[in-house]
Amino acid sequence: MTADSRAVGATEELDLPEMGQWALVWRRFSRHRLAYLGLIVLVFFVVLSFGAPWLAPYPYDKINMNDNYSLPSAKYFLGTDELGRDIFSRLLYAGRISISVALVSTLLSSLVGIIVGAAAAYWRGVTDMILMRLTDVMLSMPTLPLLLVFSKMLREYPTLKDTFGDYLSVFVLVTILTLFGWMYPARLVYSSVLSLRETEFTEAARALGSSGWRILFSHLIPNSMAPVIVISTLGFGQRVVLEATLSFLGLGVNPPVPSWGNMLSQAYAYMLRNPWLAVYPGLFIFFTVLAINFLGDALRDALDPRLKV
Amino acid sequence: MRNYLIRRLGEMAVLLLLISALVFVILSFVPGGPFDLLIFSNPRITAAEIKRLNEAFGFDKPLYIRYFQWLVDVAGGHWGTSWGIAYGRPVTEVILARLNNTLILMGAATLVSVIIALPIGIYSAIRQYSWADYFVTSLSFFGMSMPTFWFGIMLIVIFAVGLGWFPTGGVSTYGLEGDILDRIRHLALPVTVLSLFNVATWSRFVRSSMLEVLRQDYMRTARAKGLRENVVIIKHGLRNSLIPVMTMLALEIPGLFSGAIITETVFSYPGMGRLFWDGVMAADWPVVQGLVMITAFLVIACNLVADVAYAVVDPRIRYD
Repeated sequence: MTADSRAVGATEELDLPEMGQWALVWRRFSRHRLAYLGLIVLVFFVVLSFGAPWLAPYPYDKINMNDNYSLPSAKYFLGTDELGRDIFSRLLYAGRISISVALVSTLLSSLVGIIVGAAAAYWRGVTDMILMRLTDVMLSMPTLPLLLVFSKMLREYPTLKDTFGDYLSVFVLVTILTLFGWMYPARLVYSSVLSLRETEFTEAARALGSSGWRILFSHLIPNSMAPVIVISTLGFGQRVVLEATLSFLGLGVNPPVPSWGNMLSQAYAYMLRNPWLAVYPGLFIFFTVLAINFLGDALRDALDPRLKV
Repeated sequence: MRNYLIRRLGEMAVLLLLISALVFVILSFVPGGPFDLLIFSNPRITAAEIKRLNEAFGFDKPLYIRYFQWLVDVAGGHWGTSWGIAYGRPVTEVILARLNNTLILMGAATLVSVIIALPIGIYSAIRQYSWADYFVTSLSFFGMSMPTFWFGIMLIVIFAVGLGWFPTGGVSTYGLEGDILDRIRHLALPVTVLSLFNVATWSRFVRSSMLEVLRQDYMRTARAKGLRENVVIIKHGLRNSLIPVMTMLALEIPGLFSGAIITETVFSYPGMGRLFWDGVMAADWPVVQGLVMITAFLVIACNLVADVAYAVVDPRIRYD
């Protein structure tokens, strides 16, 4: 490389337009080719699932006993299950439930976690002690056994049964996944706010007369979002798997509401008759979660290269 | 260190009490009780008779008294009586009968996972960014993105139903109970399932821990002394990188129980995990409560062991 071209390179770098933080993040993110692929795959599955009412050739509960266990054909894209229901249509409707359950419980967990972590770190004292001890206690509990026990308890509750009907199991699942998921973002926000509240810009804000709430919501919380976004993305993927696992064990989403997990659970029962029934929902889960994990990995690098979540 | 241990043990006891109370209260809210089976098998039983039974066994007393009674019983080594899956038998006996199977499964899975995860983690750290490293990375992404039970079902479909190499589930073939080879054939698929996920996460952990050590100054010193590369890697690198790995392993042990619930259910393997699931489905609360307490104890004790082991292995860490 000649001295000239190096000089040109240097001026070009100087001429770079000022980039905002999000532009920088996007630049670092788009360097990950796998993350691009992940994003495309995820969008594909989301569109497919949420477009189910328009894209699915049959309703998810259309029973046709004459065509049960049929192989993939022009009439049934991926064949039919033991009751002659179209597998492809069921997969789309099931995806809508599985993705929604994971997404909603992730968002709720993050929200609760942010509130708890920020409150404890900002007010310190008794609030801190109570909230963070609670977080520690929750973190040291065996999760899966308690998820199963809670799920069993809530779904037997008569008032809830009347309110939610068929969707009771969905409500219960979102509730318990939130109940046992808020501690991870809480810890991250807590440690982040704890150090941020001692920084100069917080002091400057205080000197300018900002109220405590204003400092908390417009300075401390936004500045501690990076690790929360990463852990929530990865948590979203884990919750898709967890939904499937709990539904498989019979304590997640229950029929008649279809989900990838309970489709697998039914397929397990008819495994010997038609193994293909168990293949498709698993592949849908696998590719969705894989895409989310690639995405989370890239986000971690893009938002904060030093981050180790 | 002594004061630290005493404080931690005290915290442990409080935490276990809290969890036991929480679970006791939750379980008491679920419909279903000790006489469900009796009512089910004898439709002519009257409400008055049920009430009398409840009174006779003290199930009508207020919650906190029942909980206190349970605590006293547990202190005396009596964990209650199963009222669902093993009607009338003591909980300790029911759990102990399954303990062995679970320990064998967990032990085998942990051993296999460590034997596989350690070398590939070390190798992919030494050859960072080689094709082997990328292969291990993608493998770990695959392992982490797959629901374990689905992987189990696929193994059953391919290797048990399709090829017929392994049995679909259980611990032993009828009539071949003492046969070691038969036992191993039954363990093969569940151990594979449990190991996949462990290898996926553990090899990543070994890799990053090893990478951390490799860039330390003492590694350069060791090379500068003229030591052979093998000695540098194993004696100076591996030994130091194993400290965090050990801690991670201690923290993962309780997680194995969650894995056991799923894997044992898929393979109808009669261990504690399967027992827990059966217990929840049959609303057999004494058994469930006992199993939750054992798991909680494992989680908390392993946390403590991990912290203490850390201080023992690494003299730089001190607790006061």
